[in-house]
Amino acid sequence: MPDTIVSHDVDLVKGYMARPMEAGNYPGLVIIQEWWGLDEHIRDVTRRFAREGYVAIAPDLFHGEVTNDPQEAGKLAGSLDRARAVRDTQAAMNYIKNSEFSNGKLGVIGYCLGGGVSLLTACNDNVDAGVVYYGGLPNPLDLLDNIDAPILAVYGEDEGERANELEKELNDRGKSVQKHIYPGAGHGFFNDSGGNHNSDAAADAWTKTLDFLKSNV
Amino acid sequence: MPDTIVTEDVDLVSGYLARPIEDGTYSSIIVLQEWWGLDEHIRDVTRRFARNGFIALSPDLYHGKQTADPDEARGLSTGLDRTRATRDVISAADYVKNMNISNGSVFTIGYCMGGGISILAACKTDLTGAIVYYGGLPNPVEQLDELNAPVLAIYGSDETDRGTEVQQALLERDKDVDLHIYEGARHAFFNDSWDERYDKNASDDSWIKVMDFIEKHGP
Repeated sequence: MPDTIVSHDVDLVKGYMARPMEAGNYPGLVIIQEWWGLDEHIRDVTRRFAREGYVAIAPDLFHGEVTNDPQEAGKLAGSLDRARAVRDTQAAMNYIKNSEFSNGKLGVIGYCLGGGVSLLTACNDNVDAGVVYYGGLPNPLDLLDNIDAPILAVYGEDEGERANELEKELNDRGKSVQKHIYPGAGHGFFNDSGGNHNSDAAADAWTKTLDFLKSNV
Repeated sequence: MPDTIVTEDVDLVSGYLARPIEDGTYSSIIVLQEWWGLDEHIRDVTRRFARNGFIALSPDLYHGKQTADPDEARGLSTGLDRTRATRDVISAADYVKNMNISNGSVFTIGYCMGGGISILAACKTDLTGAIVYYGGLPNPVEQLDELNAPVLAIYGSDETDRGTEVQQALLERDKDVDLHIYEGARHAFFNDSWDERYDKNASDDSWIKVMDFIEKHGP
């Protein structure tokens, strides 16, 4: 009798990892994608952090979907289950913590869509540092009460208000926050594969990010 | 200049999936391993559920490790990060819920170590029902306050106290619990790959109880 079922191994949560080749213990960093998905740009950023001495993982929050069409990206981002996205991020954190290359420290960084998920993860779990590039605030805002980690907030001038709001909400709660707003830069300015790239702002933000991570992880 | 880094695609959480071939929509069941790991027995149980019309998925809570050695199994079980395991279960629930053959119902069932995780997961996420075979209470037990799903609890008579304790803890909190204790059966009696512990009568009867429980609480 032929079987009535199919069975196979499945990947429930996937990611892209980059780490220093040399054996040793390194701080961990979870990199959270923009609304395009886990694309070549995010992989490139993951490799850049590995070259700076991090065990870096970008979880695939869209579970296989990648696009360069803004309309489709908007749909994917709009329908993203935030709770699942945080769990996927936590899965990456757990993976790093259990890696033989980890030194036990963990940071989380996200861009655009991923910036919001980065903050949300810092509200839901213990991380040593949280970095948000032009991301949204958690809903409800009181989730911020749970943040323990210092936060670095990086925004373009077009979202100065959002940055100020985030800073205020964190300050009001006695949280540690460092904010940078780049004049003339817009949403997505760090993405050197995108139309909004601003190389001066991106280079300065990169330095600030590395400094911030270095002093916290 | 040669690069100083290594890169690879990685499985952050993986599992074993079995489902009916035929098109349709099905209830899901997350099958949670004993302390041996995601071994051939658990894969077999996962397939059995699929043959009974379920999307059945067993997440690998040990992330690649499994053993047939009791000492090693105890070490793995003791070392298991319960928070991570619970998240892995919820990741499995996320996965099945997003399949186009899912009808939205998701049960968990766990044996031995996985029994405890089955209850714990039901405290941390919304499930249609949670089934525990000879598993322990969450620690701290107050986590049960958050549980919404009905629970089916199945034990051998060697663990009557444990089964009764689980029942009591749930009843005290006005939770829906159904307890069955099988006289003469022992811990792991459902595991038909373990001759010394397997109890066919208890096993067969408990399977019927499981199917009844799922039918009662399913869609």
